[in-house]
Amino acid sequence: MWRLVINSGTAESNMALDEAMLIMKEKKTTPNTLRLYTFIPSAVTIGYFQKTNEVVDLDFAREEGISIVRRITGGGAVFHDEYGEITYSVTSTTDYFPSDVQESYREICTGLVYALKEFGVESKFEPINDVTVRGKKISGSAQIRRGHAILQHGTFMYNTDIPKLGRLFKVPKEKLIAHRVNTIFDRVTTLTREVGRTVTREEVIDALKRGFSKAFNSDIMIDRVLGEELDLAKTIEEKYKSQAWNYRR
Amino acid sequence: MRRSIRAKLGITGDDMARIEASKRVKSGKSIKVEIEMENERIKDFIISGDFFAYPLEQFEELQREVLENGTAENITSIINEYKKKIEFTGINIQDIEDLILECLTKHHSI
Repeated sequence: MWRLVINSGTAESNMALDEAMLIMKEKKTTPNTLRLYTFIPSAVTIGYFQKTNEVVDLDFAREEGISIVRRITGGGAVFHDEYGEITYSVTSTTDYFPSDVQESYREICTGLVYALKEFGVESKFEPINDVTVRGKKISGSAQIRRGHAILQHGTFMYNTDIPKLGRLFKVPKEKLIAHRVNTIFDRVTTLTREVGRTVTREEVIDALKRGFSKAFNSDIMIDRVLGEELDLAKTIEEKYKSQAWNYRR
Repeated sequence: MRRSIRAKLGITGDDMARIEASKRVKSGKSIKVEIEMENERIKDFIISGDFFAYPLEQFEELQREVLENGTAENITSIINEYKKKIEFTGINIQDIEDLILECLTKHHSI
């Protein structure tokens, strides 16, 4: 039985809770957890190894009141649009998934593929860490392992403001060439765009819950975040608020 | 001529140079290495990109080791030491070694 946590918060508190859940999982004190959450207000998270000023248009982010937080996971920058994006995180013991990193990405991302199927949208996992629809990215994920615990979190764009996303990120021309596209609009899509109607957050949460349940071959029951997890997250949150962390590269 | 190359590479003083090398690997992930040299010693060293590597602690230790002890002669042995300690996804540890050596070669060709 998996625990389902649905909540929302600032970028700093969201990243702190994911990290706290990973640490608690490492201590084997918490159940395997699927968390579905929203960033309020909208924010950008960048990969652990990225240089903040090289990937984000800092002036535009400032103008839009969009905060920038560095993740503990690698990968690229993500725009967490309050009105059009749901982030998922999976925290579990490593033995639940294949030991091969790439295969574990595939297995976890299958939950997203199943969720999209509920909307009649065919998608596929594309190594290393994307789920695509008609060759366009609709989700990107990032994973970290600590001891025998695994944290994978990722984005699910159901109605993300793509023009804003395009302005926020400095996408190098080589990246567009590598993906054989001309602009970010050819590279990224949303569920709303794919189905031709406005999809709601609630619909997406329901579909993700069922999708992950099917992918993990397990029931998923909604439950609360433990007090210990919240206390630990509160301590970790200070790191995510600091310039030293967010601009360390 | 020599002066313009030094300026292009961002040399800020007589004995200081900031050199960078980057690449986009087949997976689509990018990696960049920046080295600041001062009096033939590595003064600053940063690896950045949208790749994955863990454990983070080992990655940071690799960076520290290169920063504190790295030279063109011993980079390969430092990298070898970490080959089994760090799991990379999206890039290869060899990519890091190649870029460090590229930076050091650029420095010595100035």
